[in-house]
Amino acid sequence: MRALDFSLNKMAGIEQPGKQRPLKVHILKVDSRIRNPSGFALCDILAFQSEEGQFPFSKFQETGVGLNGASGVPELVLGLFYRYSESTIPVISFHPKLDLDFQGDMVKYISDPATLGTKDRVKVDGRSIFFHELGHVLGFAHIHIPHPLNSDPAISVMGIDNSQRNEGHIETRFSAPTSLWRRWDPQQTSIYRSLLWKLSNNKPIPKPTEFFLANMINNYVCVMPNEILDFNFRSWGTVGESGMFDWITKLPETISLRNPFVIEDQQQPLRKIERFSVHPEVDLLVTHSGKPLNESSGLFKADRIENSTYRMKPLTHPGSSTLNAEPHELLFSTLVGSFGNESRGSFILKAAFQMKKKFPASYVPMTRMQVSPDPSECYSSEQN
Amino acid sequence: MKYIFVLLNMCCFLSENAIARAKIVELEHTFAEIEGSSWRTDDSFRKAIDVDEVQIPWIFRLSLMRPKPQPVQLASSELGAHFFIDDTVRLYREINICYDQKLKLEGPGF
Repeated sequence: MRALDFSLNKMAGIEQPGKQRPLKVHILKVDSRIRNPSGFALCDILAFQSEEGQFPFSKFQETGVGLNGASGVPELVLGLFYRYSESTIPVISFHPKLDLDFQGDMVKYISDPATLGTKDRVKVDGRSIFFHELGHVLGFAHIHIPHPLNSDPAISVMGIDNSQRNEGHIETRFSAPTSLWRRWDPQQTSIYRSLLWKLSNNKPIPKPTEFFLANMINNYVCVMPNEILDFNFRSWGTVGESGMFDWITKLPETISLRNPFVIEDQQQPLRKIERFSVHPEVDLLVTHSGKPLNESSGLFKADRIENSTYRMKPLTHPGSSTLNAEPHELLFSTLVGSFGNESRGSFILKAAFQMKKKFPASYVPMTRMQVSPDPSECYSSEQN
Repeated sequence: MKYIFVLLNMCCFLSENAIARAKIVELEHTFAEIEGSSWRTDDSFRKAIDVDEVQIPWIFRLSLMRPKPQPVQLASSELGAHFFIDDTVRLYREINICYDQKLKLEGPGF
């Protein structure tokens, strides 16, 4: 699926039989060098790459490409969303020294120039920056407190707020080839699309407080049948022979899942729906409240497991014993799947790895999802 | 106090003129520091480009001739999570994304 279609599905919901997505998007090519306002009369947004020495990037003091910190990431303002006023066209502008990749598979968010042999250019994932800035156009903010499915906000497309510094995983954004542009915050997109569909269906907009007060209590997000969902396994470590906690450096050759790690909920007995043929070591457990389960209806379709290896240098505080330590690797796994055509109602999903028969290696946080083909039904008082 | 806060936020829709803030800047910045690197916005960068209008190129001040989005004000969550800039959602019904010819957007990947 094209990145634009995928991101629109996330932000505005997916097309349903007889119901079109209430947000239409058109892509128009322009020549930003020609100073003719009528040439931009059709533009709601304008995206371009700035020229060297020009505003705004000329205003930023940078250490320069190739002067790297501990992670080998050059210090640059990669992109910018700029809305001068409510009466001007919002602008998405890219740094002039970027080589923007809008097409490749599993492109790294940013590549170290030293490894590429390029001295003054930086290769970046153009889609991740573009859709990040497009999110800003819609009002999306940097994620501060992420939804549990995004176990680390640094690896979601809307990035992190600068007030949140999760040093443990912060470098994962820079360290691995990954389709970062796929990883939207479920709560952020859920709210946006619900409002969009309510407006389209002439339904009342909930009171401002209803989205969050109710949502935090019930902890659910709205998803649609056939919507591609990424469940990020939260990485855990293991307790080694010495009794010390170690991060997982690699998965063992065999993984046992005889006793999946789940938090039993007596009110919502777990029912195992499917055992993956793609990755037989993983169980997906689904609970359903309300309507009876019909396992033959294709409740949830597991598509694949995606694994990414994040090679990280240890954090290097002055005087730290890890100053000269070797880089280590973290494995992140993502379950990709979707609810079936006929799925409706409230679900709780849980999934887990277990390794070494001791501890779970990683898990998907318990998440409640309201599945409906009509996002305008979400965040209504009768559902809360 | 909580009830006062709720009452203050009871209004769902804002008129377009009610978005008092004009200029919005969001920056995506990798920076190197002793702990490693991050992705963040930085107020010092915002200040750096908060310059007189005459220094701002015309392309950043092009008049918007298209319908404006519908703003909807939300409250912040109990946990203080701000999912939207100024807690305001901008609902578009149609978006024309104009991109400069130099950007290589054409292709199956985008």
